[in-house]
Amino acid sequence: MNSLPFQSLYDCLAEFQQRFNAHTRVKKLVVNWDRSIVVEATDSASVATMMIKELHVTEVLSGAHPDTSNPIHLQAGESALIRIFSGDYNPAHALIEGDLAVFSSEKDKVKLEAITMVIWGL
Amino acid sequence: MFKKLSELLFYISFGAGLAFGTSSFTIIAGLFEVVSAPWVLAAILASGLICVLISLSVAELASMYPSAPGIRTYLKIGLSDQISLVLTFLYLVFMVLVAGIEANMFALVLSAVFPAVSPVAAISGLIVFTVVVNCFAIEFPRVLQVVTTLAMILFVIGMGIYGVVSSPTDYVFTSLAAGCRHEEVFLLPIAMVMSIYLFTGFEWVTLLGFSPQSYERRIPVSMPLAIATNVVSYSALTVGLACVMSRVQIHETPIPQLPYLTALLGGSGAHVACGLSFLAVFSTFNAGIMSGSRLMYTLTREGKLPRWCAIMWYRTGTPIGAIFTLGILSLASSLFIYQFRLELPAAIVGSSIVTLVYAAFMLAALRLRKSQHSVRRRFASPVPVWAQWLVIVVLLLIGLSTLVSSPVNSGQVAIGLLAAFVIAIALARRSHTKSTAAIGDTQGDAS
Repeated sequence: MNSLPFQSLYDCLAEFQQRFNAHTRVKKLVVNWDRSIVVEATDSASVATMMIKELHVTEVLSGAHPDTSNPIHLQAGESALIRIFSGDYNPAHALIEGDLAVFSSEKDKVKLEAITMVIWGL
Repeated sequence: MFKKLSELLFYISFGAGLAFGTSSFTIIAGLFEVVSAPWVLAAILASGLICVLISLSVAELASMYPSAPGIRTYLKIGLSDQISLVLTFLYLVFMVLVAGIEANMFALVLSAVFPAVSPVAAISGLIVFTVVVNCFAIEFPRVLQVVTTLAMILFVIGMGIYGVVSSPTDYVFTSLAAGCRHEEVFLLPIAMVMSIYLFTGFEWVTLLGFSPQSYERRIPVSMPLAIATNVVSYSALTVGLACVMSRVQIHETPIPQLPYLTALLGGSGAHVACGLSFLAVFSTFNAGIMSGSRLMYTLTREGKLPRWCAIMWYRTGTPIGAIFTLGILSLASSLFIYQFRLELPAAIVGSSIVTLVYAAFMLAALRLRKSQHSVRRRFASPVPVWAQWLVIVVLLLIGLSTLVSSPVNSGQVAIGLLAAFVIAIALARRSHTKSTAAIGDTQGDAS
């Protein structure tokens, strides 16, 4: 397997934040969709939260800061999460392979699937 | 505590509501064509018990791969990619069949109560409505799902009991035993296959876990409870029907709820039956199309279906390519079933498919205990291994029985099953060939 492009999950999410914010088409998908997405590694202590507000990922926080009304929680091994958020591992494949778990409302799952397809394609 | 309880209640109502559709009444009428009332009850109880055992294996799989698209993931990791693909496509065929049967039965009730409404218009209207709702990603509140399912189930149980108490006591026993013969035991396998249809859908709750902890107890417990709830409601309905109507009267109509409620409630019974059918179709149809389209979308992103199935509407983020494809297929299936009055053969074909899929789930769970023993399980099925093997064998045997002892034209069922397998295998082969070609292209590019 190739070496991971990032040393830590936090670094990877920080880079993803820039990619997300620079993407014009993805903004159409996140209109009125302010959420906090908790990203948790199952094989290490790494947990981070991406805050999406007014069409942007405004910050990446260390630790879990779940939204009480619309919680979104992603779980996978740390290397899988890094590969997913750096575009090396199709999240749809990761879900099918059982490497990724997504806990949220059905509507938010549909939205997440759409976001990943816009950013990384099929 | 209240939060956990309401979460559990939502899972139970989702599983029970998805399984209890308008076509459930058709299946119960079909069961009366095969066997007498006591054996109908025996078939419902036996199938319910088998489904509980299956649900425990499904819960174990879900605890290993929470939120995964169950049928594709469990069978791919537990059995093989090709078997998983064939069974996933078979399951999609089943979903299209169910949509067709549900739309037909709802249209029949609607047209009987409002003769000005043509069945074709009702079928088309229902499917168009569902497609639009899904395209706009309109999500009905969870509380509405719980309330509508609870209302429907309590009403069915209540009407079943009312049917019994409104009949003279000695008549209850006479009518229940009418036509009951010991030889009917040989018809129990086909009755059980048909009854499994009555519970199908309970497994979709595994996609909905609110949190990782949901897979430890709440989801595993919710599935048996949803099945038990439906066992009670179907049994109450069966006894009520047997007390109020003759066996011939029950099975000569695919919508027995209509004459039954009319007999019990008089003129208003037809309108009540229409309302009940709407409640039944609501959860099954909406959740079915939504789940089916997401499964298609996932398969497309995996490269197993044409790319247009992943076309998305940016405003809502919904996979309109998959939703429209499933909507068109459901409409075609509905009109075909309507034209040739194939609701019961279609339901038996669907039931046989599900029986096979459920056997595969149990087999996958057993195989994964050896091959993936290090993967964390938040829940393990308490059913002994020998009992799980027994259920697998029983499922396969009763599934095969549909080919030899179907209550309707066995030829129609055999052709339907064959067609479903040909479609599933062709789609699986096509996607496998494309995947192999894609790998070849990649290697060519690399060199």
